[in-house]
Amino acid sequence: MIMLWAVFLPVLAGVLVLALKDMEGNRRVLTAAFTAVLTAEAALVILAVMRGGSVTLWRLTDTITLGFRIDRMGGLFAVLTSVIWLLAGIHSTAYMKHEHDERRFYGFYLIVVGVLSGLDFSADLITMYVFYEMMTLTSLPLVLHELTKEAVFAGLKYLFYSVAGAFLALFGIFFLANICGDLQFAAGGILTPEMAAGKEGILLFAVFAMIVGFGTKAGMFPLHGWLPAAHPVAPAPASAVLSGVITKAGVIAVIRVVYYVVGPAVIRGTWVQTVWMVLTLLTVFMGSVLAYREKVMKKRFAYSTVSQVSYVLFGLSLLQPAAFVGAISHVIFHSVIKDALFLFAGAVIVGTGWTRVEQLRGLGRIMPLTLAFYTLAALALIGIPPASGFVSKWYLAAGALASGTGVFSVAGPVVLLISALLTAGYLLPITIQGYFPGQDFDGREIEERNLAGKEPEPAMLIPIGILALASLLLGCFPGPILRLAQAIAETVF
Amino acid sequence: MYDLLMAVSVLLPILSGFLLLILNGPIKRGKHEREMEIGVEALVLVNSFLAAVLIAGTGGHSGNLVLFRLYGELTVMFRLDRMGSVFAGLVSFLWPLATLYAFEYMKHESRKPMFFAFYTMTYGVTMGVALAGNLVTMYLFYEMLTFVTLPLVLYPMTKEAARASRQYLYYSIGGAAFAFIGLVCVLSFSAIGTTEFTAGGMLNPDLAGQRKNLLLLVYVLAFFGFGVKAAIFPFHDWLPKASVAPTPVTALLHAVAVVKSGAFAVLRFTYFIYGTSFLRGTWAQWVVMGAALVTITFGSTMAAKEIHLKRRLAYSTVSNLSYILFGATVMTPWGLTAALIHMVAHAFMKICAFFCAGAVMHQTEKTYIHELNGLGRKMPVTFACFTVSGLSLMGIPLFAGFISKWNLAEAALSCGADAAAAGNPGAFMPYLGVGVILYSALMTGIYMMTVSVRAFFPSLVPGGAEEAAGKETGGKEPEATDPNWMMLVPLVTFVIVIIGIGLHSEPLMRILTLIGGEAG
Repeated sequence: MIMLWAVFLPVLAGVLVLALKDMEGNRRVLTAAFTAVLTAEAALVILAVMRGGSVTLWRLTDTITLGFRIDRMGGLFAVLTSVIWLLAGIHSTAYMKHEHDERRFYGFYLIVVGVLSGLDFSADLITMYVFYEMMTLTSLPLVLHELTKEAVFAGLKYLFYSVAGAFLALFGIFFLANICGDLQFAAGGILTPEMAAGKEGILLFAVFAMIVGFGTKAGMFPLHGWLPAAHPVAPAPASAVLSGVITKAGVIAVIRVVYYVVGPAVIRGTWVQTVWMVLTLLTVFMGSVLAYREKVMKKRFAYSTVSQVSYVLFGLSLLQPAAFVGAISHVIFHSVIKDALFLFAGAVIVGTGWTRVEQLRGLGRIMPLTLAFYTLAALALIGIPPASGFVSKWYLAAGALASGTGVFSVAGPVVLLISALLTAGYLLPITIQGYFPGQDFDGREIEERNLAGKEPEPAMLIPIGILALASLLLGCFPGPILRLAQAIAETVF
Repeated sequence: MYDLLMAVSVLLPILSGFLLLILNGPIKRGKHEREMEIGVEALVLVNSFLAAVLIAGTGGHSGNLVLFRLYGELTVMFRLDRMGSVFAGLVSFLWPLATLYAFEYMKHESRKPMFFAFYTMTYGVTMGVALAGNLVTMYLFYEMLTFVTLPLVLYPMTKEAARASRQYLYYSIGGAAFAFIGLVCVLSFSAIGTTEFTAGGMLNPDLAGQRKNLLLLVYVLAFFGFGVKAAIFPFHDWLPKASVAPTPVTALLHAVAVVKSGAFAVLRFTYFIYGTSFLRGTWAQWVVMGAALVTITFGSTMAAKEIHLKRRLAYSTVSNLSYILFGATVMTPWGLTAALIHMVAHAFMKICAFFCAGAVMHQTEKTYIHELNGLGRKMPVTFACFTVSGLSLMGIPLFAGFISKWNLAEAALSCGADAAAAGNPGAFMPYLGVGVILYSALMTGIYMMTVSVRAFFPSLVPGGAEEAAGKETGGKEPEATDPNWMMLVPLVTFVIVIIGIGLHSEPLMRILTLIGGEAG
């Protein structure tokens, strides 16, 4: 029962918020209720994951049954999602004060977290697909929120890419349902060679379609184009969860397909694995380069997401336990770090109205503490020990070297290293320019607008602080996460 | 008794329509309009009730009712079977709701008696197609359908309408001519001497086996002939043009009654005359399947390009009808089941979408998509219904469209696997079909969701803001609102059905699976 509450409470609360027009004038009640629901959601998810279990929801047709079952993989994603959602939610209560249509934002923000929990708890591929589509549709208003022409175009782009990806994946689901009958997740896959006898060629194509299709949400080349358009136009807390968490829904979908339905053995050594590795490495490199060249802060972070989420996908594509552990831990670390970065961007935008990187010179005089948190997160993303990014990248590189994938076992770590250099190149200048604006810096604007020393308000600062410290501490004490990831890896290989 | 009821449910609307034409004069002088509306609605309701009694009472198996004998073995005969029940049930569910909607929609129009006379007659004729017991009867009603709906397309009396109705006439008659070739041919190869519908086909295997290629050619001709009404490429052009007709006509006739009669006729011809065992795996199957796939692709692509809302929906109909035909050309029991579930699901989805478009035209007189900015906030119920029908058309799970697409795809994949196992060179076609359906689903997302997004999330560029704000910037036009109950009741009913089928399709699917089982 608890898991049903964890899925439906936020959805119901969100619908209620959307329906109650009177809440518009009553900001304090609205934000209090909003925060309370998010807190309850985090608690419910943790409780549900501790309890575990399974539940059958609904017989859709005589062959399709929707159901939830919590396993370690889903539980991990669900807890991560709800905790990050809460932190970004708290940030948004301060951020959205400066925006229009606050109520609509909160409403959809709540609905999406419920849908995501449902996606993580799904017991089979079709249930997951249902929630996957719902996630696209309910998160669309977050992208559209600003209602500028740019936002509407970005929203439509987001919608069409997501739907295209989902339909690519649906081809695979159609095919797998046809040969497997039942698509319940089981660690290591449910497909046996007899099921696919005579149809191996189409099977591989179907798996590839699913990887590319679900990979759309994770911003994988070639269907990544929506991400740098859609993430930055949303309000900052929404960009944070879109980039940090919703991209991971694409990741878990790919994990479920490859490791829980098809089984890694089916695609090991085939063209699917090769092409998949090529695509992810290409995405890693391209994302970093584009981030390096981008001057708008939020867009830069979005390109960084393109690159970083493909670290995860690269780890998954190696089909090797250590790389798998690296991928899972990078899911967590990247969620934490990227949310810190976007929430930082939100705090800067609210505090100063600056959006471009070159405007951020001298930011250290305005919000030194926030910038310090940013720097922590940036160092973690680059992968400087002992911060968290180092741990996951270590495992990714080690896994690649041990994977026996020929040229890729070397090319992978090289690309990761180059990308890490580029990451330093696109993140650290903000810190350096912020604290050390240089001799020629003209600080008049800061004085005129009386900005000096104005840290953001606590509702913004505290989530950023928590996330930044977490990105450091998770790297210092990665034991529990790695043990969990290793335990999962043992079941799927 | 039930046998007689079949004749009643066909003839009652037709005769009432004639009566209404006779009474045209007195009503036209502005009097008794209310009475006419109540009378028509009551009549349609009674007829639907009779149809319900008929279907429930016979359980989908009635006796034969021979109306009259044309010549020799050519009899006009009614017989209700399960597949006919599905179509008859669908039509009789939709007609009262559509009539209710039409009263409100046509409120300000003149020549109402004439409109409703033909509108009601079409009901009877469509029931005739559903209840026809043999090919001759079906052909007869099929031709009649063209003539009773022609005045409805012509109704606006504009040059455009005249051109559209002329095209409609030529296409339909031409198609019927091809269908006629099929009729004549199967009569001479029939195993039973008549053209009575027989589950699994009625061709004489010995005779037919000798002239296999001739018969296959005739099948392809008849497929395209009947397919004209189902708007198969390259004979689709009349359908988007015919959207000049009033919305109740476009919605009910050109999304359900007329076009589904075409699809229904193809199903009858394929599964009840030729029989799938004769056709499966032949070149004819791949030709007609290819035609359906081309139409799906073409229709949905054109819909995404079109900027006129009703024409966009009409192109969407072109594409969706070929989903049904695609199911038909899979030529397995499951294929027939899938075709029928899409026939039912699409009826509700598309009539809902058209009625929303009609409600917008009725309330605001806006017909182009770029004019819809921000209307969703003023007409929330209408656009919510539109969005539901759009999501369902896309095939999002939990809506009816997903169920039908699931079945179509699974049926096609099984067909492909069987064909591949048999070493048939056309085995790639069904797999391609699944890909085409998914491509079309993406296009559906584009052409339906852009409308919803535009309506609910107007971009706040100068122009958009003005339109969204409406009154504040001068108030050139009166504030639009949701239409009244006569329009909303049908809309909400359709939405409930769409979600109902999406969530709980098992009872319906059981019946359709039975039909597939006996005829496939």
